[in-house]
Amino acid sequence: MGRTAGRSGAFIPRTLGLALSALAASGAFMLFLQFGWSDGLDAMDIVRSAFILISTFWLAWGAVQAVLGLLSQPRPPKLPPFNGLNSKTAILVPVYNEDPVTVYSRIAAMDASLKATGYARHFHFAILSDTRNDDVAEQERIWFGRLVDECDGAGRMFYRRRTNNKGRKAGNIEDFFQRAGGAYDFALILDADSLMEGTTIVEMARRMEAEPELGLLQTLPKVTRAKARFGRAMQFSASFHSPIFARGLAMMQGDTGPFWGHNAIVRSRAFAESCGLPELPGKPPFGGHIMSHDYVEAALLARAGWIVRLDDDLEGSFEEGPENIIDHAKRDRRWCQGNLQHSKIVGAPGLRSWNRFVFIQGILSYISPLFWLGFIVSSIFAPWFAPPVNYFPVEGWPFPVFPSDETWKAIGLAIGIFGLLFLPKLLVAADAALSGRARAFGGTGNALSSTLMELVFSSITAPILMMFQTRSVLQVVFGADGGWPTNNRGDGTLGVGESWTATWWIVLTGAVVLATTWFLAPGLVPWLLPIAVPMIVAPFIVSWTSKSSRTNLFITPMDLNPAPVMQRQDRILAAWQGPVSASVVTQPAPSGSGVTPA
Amino acid sequence: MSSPNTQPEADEGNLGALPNAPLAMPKQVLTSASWFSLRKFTWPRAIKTGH
Repeated sequence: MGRTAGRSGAFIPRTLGLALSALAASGAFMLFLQFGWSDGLDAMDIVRSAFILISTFWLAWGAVQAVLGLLSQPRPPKLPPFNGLNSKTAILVPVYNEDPVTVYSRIAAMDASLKATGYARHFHFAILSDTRNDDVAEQERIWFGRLVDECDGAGRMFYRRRTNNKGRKAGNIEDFFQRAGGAYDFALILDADSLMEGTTIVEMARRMEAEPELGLLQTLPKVTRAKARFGRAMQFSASFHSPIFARGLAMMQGDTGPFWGHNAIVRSRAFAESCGLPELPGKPPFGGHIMSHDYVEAALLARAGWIVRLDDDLEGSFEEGPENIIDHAKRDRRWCQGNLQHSKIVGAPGLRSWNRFVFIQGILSYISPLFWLGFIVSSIFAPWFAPPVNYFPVEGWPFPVFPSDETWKAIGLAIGIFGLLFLPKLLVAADAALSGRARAFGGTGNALSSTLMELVFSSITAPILMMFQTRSVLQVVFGADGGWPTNNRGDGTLGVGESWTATWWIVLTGAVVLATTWFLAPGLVPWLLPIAVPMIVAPFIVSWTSKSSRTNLFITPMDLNPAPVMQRQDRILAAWQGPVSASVVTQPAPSGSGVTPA
Repeated sequence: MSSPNTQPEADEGNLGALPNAPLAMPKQVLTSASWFSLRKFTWPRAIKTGH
C-alpha cells in the first residue's frame, strides 16, 4: 500500500462545481417544463425536459471548469532548494506501427535537451515496441542503431519488441515494470508522438523526489505541428482554451488525478504495487483488456493512497493531434469504448468517490450527444403527442382562457444554453486579452478573431462529430469491438470521395431528419438547419477541413517561437530524412546497443 | 487485493543491458458483485473529518 495522500483542497471547487451545474440544469428543466405546460402537459414534454436537464448539466459542468480555471493561476508547488537529482528515471516510449524515423528523432531531441541540463545520466530511454508489421519492426531495429550511434546511447537506450501484444499499451508498460522497473525510481510514460523539454523532465523528477507521497505527476501537453484546417483549429483550442479548462479540472480533481496516459511521470514502486490491471470478465467491448487504462490507473493509485496530480505550471510538454475529422473520429471510437467500459469498474471496491465520479463523467461525455439527439427527435415528434388546446378549461365559464405566452421563457432558455456553450471560450479570450496572454497568440486581435472562428468552426463540425460519437456509442452498446487500429500521424488530407465513403450515412441521416421535420413540424425547420445542413454537406466539410491551412488565424505560441526541443527535432529529422540516410538504413545495429536481433 | 502475478510473454528483441530488476505487479480487484454492494465506499475526506 502507498502513503496516505496529504492535501486535497478540492472539496470547495467540487461542491461549487456540482452545485452550480445542478442549479443551471434544474433551472433549464423548470423553464422548459413551464414552456411545455403552457398548452397542456404531455409525456413528450416531460421527456424533453429530462433531456434538457441532463444536457444542461453537462454543458454547465464544462462552463464551471472554465470559470474555476480563470479564477486561479498556475502555481508551482513549494519545494526545497534544488541540489541536483539523486534518482534514476526510465523514459518509456511505447510504439505501435509508427514511423520509426520520426519517433526516434523525438527521442534524439529529448536526449540532446536532457544533455543540455547536465542530468542526462539520470535518465534512460526504453523503446517498447508492440509493432505488428514486420517491415516497420525491421525499420525500428535498423534506425535504433543510428539513434544509439548519434546519441552515444549505448547502455542508456534500449529497444524491445513484444511478440504478444497482451494488454495493448497498458500491457506493454506493465511488461517493462515486470522486467526492469525495480532499477528505476520513476518512469516517464510517453506516447510515440510525445516530445518534452529536458528541463521539464528534470523538474518532474525533482518534484517526485521532493514529495515521497506523489505517485503520479501529469503535465498538460500542448498540441503542436498541426497543418490542416481541422488540426490547426484543434491545436489553437488546445493551446488557448484547454489550459484554463484543465486548471479548473485539476482544482476539482485535487489529489486523485487526472492521468491521460502519457507525458506523465510515475513512481515505479507505487505504479507496480497499485496498477496491475486485470482483464475484465466477459467479452469485448465491455469485457477483456481495459482500453482507457489511464483513468483506471489514476483511480488505483489514489485508492492506494498515492497523490495523483496535474501540475499545469509545467511547460515544455508536447504531443501531436489528428489532422482531420475522420482520424479524430477513429481515436474517439477507441476512447468511447474505453470510457463506456468503465461502467464495469465504477463500482470497484475502495475507490475514492471522486474517481467514481470521473468514470461517470467520462461515460456521460460520450452519451451526452445521445441526449441532444433524443431532444431533437422528441421535439420533432412532440406535435403528435400535444393535446388540442382547450380554450374553455373551466366548466360553466363562458369566456375563453388563452394559453399563456411563454415565448420569452423559451428565448431565455435558448440564450442560456448557447451562453453555456460559447461564454466559457469568450471569457477565456477576454481574460487572455486583459492579461496579455493573447500576445503569444499573434496579438489580441488575432486571438479574438481565432476564438470567434473556432466557435464557428466547432459549430459546423459539431453535428458531424455528434453523429460519429452516436454511432460509436451504439456500436459499443450493441457489442462491436473497435480493436486497436494504428494511429495515422502523417498527412491526413482527404478527397471528397474518401470523405463520402466515411460520411454517406451522415448525409442520409441529415436528409431524412430534415424531410421528416418538414412534414411533421415545419416550424422547427429553421432550428434544425444549423444541424442538418452540416450533416448533408459532411463530405465537403470533412474534405475541406483536412486540407492545409493558409490562414493567419489559429496562431499558437509554438508557431511563433517553437520550443528548443522542437527545433532540435526538426534539425535531426531533416538530417535523417536527407540523402545521406539512404546508406544508413542498411547499417546493422551496433554491438552493445541494447538491441537483440530477432 | 492481489492475485499471483503472471509472467511476461516472450519477446522478439529485448531490453538488452537494462538491469534485470523485476517489480511484481499484482492484479488489482476491479469488479464488485454488484454496483450496489460498495462496502468499501469511501466518503470524501472533508466529509469524514468535517473540514
